[in-house]
Amino acid sequence: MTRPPAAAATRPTTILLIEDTTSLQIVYRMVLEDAGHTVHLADTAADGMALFRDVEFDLVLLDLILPDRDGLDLMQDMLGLRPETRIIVITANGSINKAVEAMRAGATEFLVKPFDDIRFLDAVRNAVAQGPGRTRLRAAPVQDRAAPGLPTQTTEATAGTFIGSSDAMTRIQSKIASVAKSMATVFITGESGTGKELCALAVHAGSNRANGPFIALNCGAIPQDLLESEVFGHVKGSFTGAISDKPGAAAAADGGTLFLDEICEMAPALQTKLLRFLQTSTVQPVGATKPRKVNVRIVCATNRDPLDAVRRGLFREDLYYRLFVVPIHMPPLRERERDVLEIATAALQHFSAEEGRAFHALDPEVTELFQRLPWPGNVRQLLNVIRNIVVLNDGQLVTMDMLPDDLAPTPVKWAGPTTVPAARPAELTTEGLVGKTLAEIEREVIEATLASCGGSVPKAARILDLAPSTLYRKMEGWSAPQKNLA
Amino acid sequence: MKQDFGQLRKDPSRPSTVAAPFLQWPTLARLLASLGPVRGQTFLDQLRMDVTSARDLLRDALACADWAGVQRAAHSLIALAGTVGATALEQAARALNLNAQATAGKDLQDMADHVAALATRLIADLDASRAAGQPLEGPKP
Repeated sequence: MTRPPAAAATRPTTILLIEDTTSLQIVYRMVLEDAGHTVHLADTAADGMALFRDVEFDLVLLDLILPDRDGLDLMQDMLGLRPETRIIVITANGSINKAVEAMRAGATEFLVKPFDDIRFLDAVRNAVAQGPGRTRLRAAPVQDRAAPGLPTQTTEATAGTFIGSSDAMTRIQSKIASVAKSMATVFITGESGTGKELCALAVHAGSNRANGPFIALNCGAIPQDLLESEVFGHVKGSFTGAISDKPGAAAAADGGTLFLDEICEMAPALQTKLLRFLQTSTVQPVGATKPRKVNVRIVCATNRDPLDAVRRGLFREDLYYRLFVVPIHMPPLRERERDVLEIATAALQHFSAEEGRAFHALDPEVTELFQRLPWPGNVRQLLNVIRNIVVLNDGQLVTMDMLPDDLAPTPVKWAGPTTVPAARPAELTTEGLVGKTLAEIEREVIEATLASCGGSVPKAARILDLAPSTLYRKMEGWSAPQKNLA
Repeated sequence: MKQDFGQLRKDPSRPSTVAAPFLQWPTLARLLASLGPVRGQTFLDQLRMDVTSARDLLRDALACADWAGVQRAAHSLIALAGTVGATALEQAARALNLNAQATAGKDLQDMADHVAALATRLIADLDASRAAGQPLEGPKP
């Protein structure tokens, strides 16, 4: 596990961790406590339930396989007692069926072991900051969320603060300032890791709705059959597992901003309902008989070309024109001139302070390399690299020998804007592939794509133009029993 | 690698002699660096115990055709092995878990034996590393 930036930690929370393997308890507890959370431990379902009855937890982390009881049964009891409880299910049994079963039963998130702590804390942060489900509620004014100015999923900057003085970012700051006060829908595009959510937060923070909620919903991370309930809510008993009323993201964002991330991943049927919502400003939860009027500003984002999605029939044209009012394109890091150095230096100082290191600058050789690298993972990748360097080394200057092995030593300067580039191992060239079976090549490409997406199956599936479920099936197929075990 | 691994490091200047590609040493080293010397040592002690007890549970469950027990043991080993970078064990345990679900126990003997052997190897590697006082960095290139 690598430790993520402390800025990933949100407000301190009280967490109940129900995990029966002691060494894993140690690791999870360390990650959570280092991020500022208070952790209560239970290693059986019975102990977990006893603690749950006594203490009001912000979040429960629940292992599905416990020595005395099935985790899903325990979760049902907990939700029966306190339906508003947010529960992250953690399990090594990562089948898609299990994930859907857990989400249907009321889990907020589903994490497959082993997971890195960036993903772990991200899930905790999202779960804590939201109501039940996977909507992220930030009821506090965004401006109050003082955090070091380091953008990305792991280190959200103070809204409105982007590090970088390049022309591209200056133009974006200016555009955000202009559009924030209006009610116009903002459509943010850009590659993964460029700070689209940060941009959405900045729009919200600069608006008259800044004191209202900011609800972020990742349309690509939620099973399609749950998405309608997530967006529009449901009433108790409307389907199996609907054990209580749930407002949905659209209603929760009333008076604030609804951020629909990865909007192009939304199923066509739901696109129709979203369009109706935009036209009427009313929501009707699943199973409800009457619609309800809400006042919501929409900001959406995608890392695809939305017009291309329209041409390919994946995205409704009328919805596209309804949403694509004020477009903001977040430029990739490779097109942001010396911003890479400004961000790297700020991150270096921040992480060094956090880890008790003395780093304060980059060696000239590293500086030159950083400017040449294409950074396919954008700011997120840069921050991970800096974090890696700070954790594993010490000194005042970052030198070449401190760089992670997978950072290309002799990169080629990025040649021009095309599609989202993926980090590829050297052998993924035509020469490296000849002689391999098609199945082997397919697996290599999928694994490389997954790696470039930080292990995110939905993101990799999008790049590969596959359904996530197809990708899960292929991955499960690789894990299938092999005849030769020697 | 410049972290202080506390009790694990006896002579930092001595080159590593623990050749163990079976284990992704950098993964474990990063984890230990995050934990710090005291928690890191506690973790290693507990890890050894957890892997041992999961392996023993696997053997016992197999002996009495307790397929749920086999799955429970495999589940533990997936998480433990994955957390410390014992990829071969993680994958074998994952395959066992999948097979146990799919076949309800048929033809599991060889697979379970293989998983148990890999778990034993992980335990041996951890013991060897401790005996050698190595900082768990793995072999240098």
